[in-house]
Order: sequence, then structure tokens, then C-alpha cells
Amino acid sequence: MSNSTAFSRARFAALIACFAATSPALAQPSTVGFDQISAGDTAWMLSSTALVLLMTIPGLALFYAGMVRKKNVLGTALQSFAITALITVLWVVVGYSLAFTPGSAFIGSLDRFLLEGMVYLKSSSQLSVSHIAPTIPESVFVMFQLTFAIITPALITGAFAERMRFGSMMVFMALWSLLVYVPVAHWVWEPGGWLAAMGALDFAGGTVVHINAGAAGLVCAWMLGPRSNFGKDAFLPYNLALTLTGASLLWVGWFGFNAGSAVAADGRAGMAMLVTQVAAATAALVWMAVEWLTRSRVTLLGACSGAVAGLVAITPASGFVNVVGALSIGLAAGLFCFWGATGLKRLLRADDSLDVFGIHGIGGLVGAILTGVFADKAIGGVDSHLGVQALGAFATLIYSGVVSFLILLLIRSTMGLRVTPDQERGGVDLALHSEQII
Amino acid sequence: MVHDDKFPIAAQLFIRLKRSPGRVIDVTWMLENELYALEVLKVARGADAESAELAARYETLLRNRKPGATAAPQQPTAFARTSSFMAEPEPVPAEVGRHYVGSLR
Repeated sequence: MSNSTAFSRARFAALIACFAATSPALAQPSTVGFDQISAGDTAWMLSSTALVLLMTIPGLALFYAGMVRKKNVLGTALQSFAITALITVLWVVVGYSLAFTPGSAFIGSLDRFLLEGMVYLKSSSQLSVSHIAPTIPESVFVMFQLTFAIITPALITGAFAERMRFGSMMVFMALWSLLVYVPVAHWVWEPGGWLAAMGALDFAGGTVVHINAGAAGLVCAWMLGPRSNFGKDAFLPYNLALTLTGASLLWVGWFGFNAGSAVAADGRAGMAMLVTQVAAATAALVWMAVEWLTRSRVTLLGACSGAVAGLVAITPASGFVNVVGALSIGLAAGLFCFWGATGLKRLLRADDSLDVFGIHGIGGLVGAILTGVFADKAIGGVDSHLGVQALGAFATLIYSGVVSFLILLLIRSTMGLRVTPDQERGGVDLALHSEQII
Repeated sequence: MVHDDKFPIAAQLFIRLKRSPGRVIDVTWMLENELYALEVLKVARGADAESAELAARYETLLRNRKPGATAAPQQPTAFARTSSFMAEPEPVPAEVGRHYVGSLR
């Protein structure tokens, strides 16, 4: 009891200090000589960056495109592609600066506006590095984090698939990235962020990416309403072979996502890669087993969904847990995410078309909480606290949900959110993009 | 799905007409329905020289079709076919259909 009280006081003091200091005396991005850069770390981070980008294009684009009806395949894939371009520009203009430079407990500064100050000086053999990743060039860190900023809003598109106007979607994603993703990334990953200061553990984005996207997805599904004839007609997926291809690309790309989050080519990255594989495999097996037990059959979509659920749940824990932790998290992810995409989905009564909340929201919550249970100090070098993990997870869930709701409200009252009933009936491919699969 | 040499010409017409004058055609239906194909060719002749050339080649293939082959008079217009396509749900095997009502997984 006394230990618990002392812990609470320490956390509270840290939180207050964090709020009080608008510009805490933290390490800043700085300029160093070429000799300070690790070639091995840089090579691994360049590779990881490419892997994570591959998760969105074409991984997520294919994963989602295979699950929608034939008349919406192209529009669905286009959303991921267009978001990649949109977020790239926003990130280099202002997103990176607000997320990853010291500022207040809630948001970074504009010191890196238009990446001002990020330098590579060949003549003097100097370049800038982030204080978060001091052994790699800052340009690589900017790119690596950009790929996370891209995939997070792209994940949300699965919740409103087959019915949102393209222009409205682009405006929503731009605002959501700046008003939700950027602050939450700062809270959790920048050392001055309030959750980071409290000791919340999120190795690769269980909270920042998956809970964040899951909550926004659920709100999107509610705000846009169900697809016409949802619950009456069968919505046949166009081609689950595309979904398998996408899921496989996601699985492989996730090694860049999790092991890359070590920001070094070292043993911790190796552990992160191992536990990622173990959790994904375990969750895929569990999902298939549950399908077999409840429906007497195993589906390809179920196997893919289970693997993704395991990958989501191990994300926050990947730099902190051992193999037993990974097996346990994979087991829990398979069970809870199956429920999230079936039983909970019926309870929530929202047409979350491709189960963004059921898999990413629930998987993210499971991973964040269980990181507090299974974190191994020998691997991560830090203690974990269940209460702080839960606080981080639910604070993000609520913040993302509320701000997403406000953004959608604004867009609905100005541009409108949904395509017309005729456009929806004919499919967004032809109606919005003048293209179709023959 | 596509069996004859009209397809590459139809596909080229699809691309050219979409670019200018911005008309989207149904290539599959063009191959199946001669009345619809003739309407498309009329549009193509009025578009540009290359589209008109493609239209002429397509028309030659139509004229040289096997004796006895006929158009599809039972389906009067492409519009009618498209309307019925949009109104009717796709045929779904009962086993599969149940699975995807109100839930994907």
C-alpha cells in the first residue's frame, strides 16, 4: 500500500512538473559530426522505413481492397495511396516539428517547420540528429516516423469504406493527422510528452497508431451511418486473395514497424522481431481455433485477421517482452479481437465496415494493458505500471474519439460526408473516380 | 471473360474516350451487345481521328463476324441493362450469403 502511494505521488509530481513547464529543459535535435552516426543503425532504419511504407502501399491498400465489394475496390485502394501523398506533405511542413521537437507536455514546437534546421553539411562533415535517435541522420528519423504518420489515418479508412466522399475524406485525414495523430505522438514518444513523462510504454505504436485509429474509426462509422442495406444484403468481398496478399505484406512490413522502433540494429531490435513473429503466429492460430470451435470451419479471412490482431497487440510490447509474453499477448489478441470483430461489433451497432475498431482498437488496448503485465525489465530496462498503461490507452481512446467527432461534425455541416444513395448503389469507383474493374 | 479480337480495340476506346470527351464506356457490354457497341462507335467517330480509326476497325470486325451470329436484340439498350444490374443484388450462394450479412468476419 505504501509503495503504491509513493508511486502515485511520484507519478502525480511528474505530471504536474510536466504541465507546469511549457518548454522543459530537454535534449534538442542537434548537429553532430558524421563520425557520430552508426552505419549499421542507419542501414537498418532505412530498410525499416521502406518496410513500413510497404505496409500501407500496397499492403493495407490490398488488404482493404480485397474485402470490399467489386464496385468499390479501386476507390478503397486509392484512399490509402492518396493518404500517403497527403500526409507526406503535411509531415514535412509541420507535422514532424509538432510531434518530435520539445515544446509543451501536449505539443511540440515549430522549430522544424518546413524541416528548417534539419541539415546535411558535406563540406563540414556535419548533419543533424534527433534527440530521440542520436545515431542516425535526422532525415532518416523524419522518414521513419512519416511512415507511421501515413499508416495511422490509412487504417481508419476501413471503418467508413464504400460510402465516404473522397474530398471529405482527404480533408478529414489532413485535420485528423494534425489535431489527433501529431499531439498523441508527442504525448507518448517525445520525452517531454505527458504520457512519456509518466512512464507510459508504447514501443512501436499500440497507443499512438492502433488505439488512436481504432477510436477514430468507430466514431467515423457512427457518424457516417451504415451502408445502405447493411444487415439485409450480403456484402461479398471482392477478392480475398488480395486480402491475403495485403495481410502478408503487413506481416513482413511489421518487422520494420516493431524492430525498427528500436532505432538501432541491435539485440533489442532482434527481440522485437522475434516476439512480433511469435505473437502474430499465435493469434492467427487462436483465431482459427475459435472459428473451428464456434463455426466448424476455418476461413482465410479469419487467419489473416488473427495474424493482424497479434501484430497489433504486440506492437506496444515488442521492445519490452520476452517470448512467453509474446505467446500470452498473441493468445489474448486472438480471443479478444475475434470478439471485437463479431460480438462487440453487434453490440456497438456501428457499420465499422472492415472492423477497424474490432481489430486495431481492441488489439491496441489488449497490447497496451498487457505491456504493463509482461514487460521484462531485463529487456526494456524500465519498470512498467499497469495503471499508467491503462491511463495512456484510455486517454488516447477518448481524445481521439472526441476530436474525430468534432472534425466530422465540421465536415458534415460544410462539405458533407457521404456519397449520394445513387452513387453508393452504383459504387464509388465509377461514381467518384470514373474507373471500374471489368 | 473476353474471347475475341474486338477486346483490345474496345479497351483502347475505353481509354481514349475517357480522356476525351470524358465518356466512360462498358467494355464488356460493348463486346456482348452490338447495339451498345454501335452507339459507342458513333461517339468515337465524333471524338478525334484516332478514336474514329479505332471505331472503323471495330466496325470491320463486326461486319466480318461469323454468318449466323446475331446481336442481342432481347436486351434493347445498355441503359436498361445497367439499370437492372444496379437494381438487382448480385446472385449469392446461400451458404456464402448468410456469412456476409451484417458482418464480414
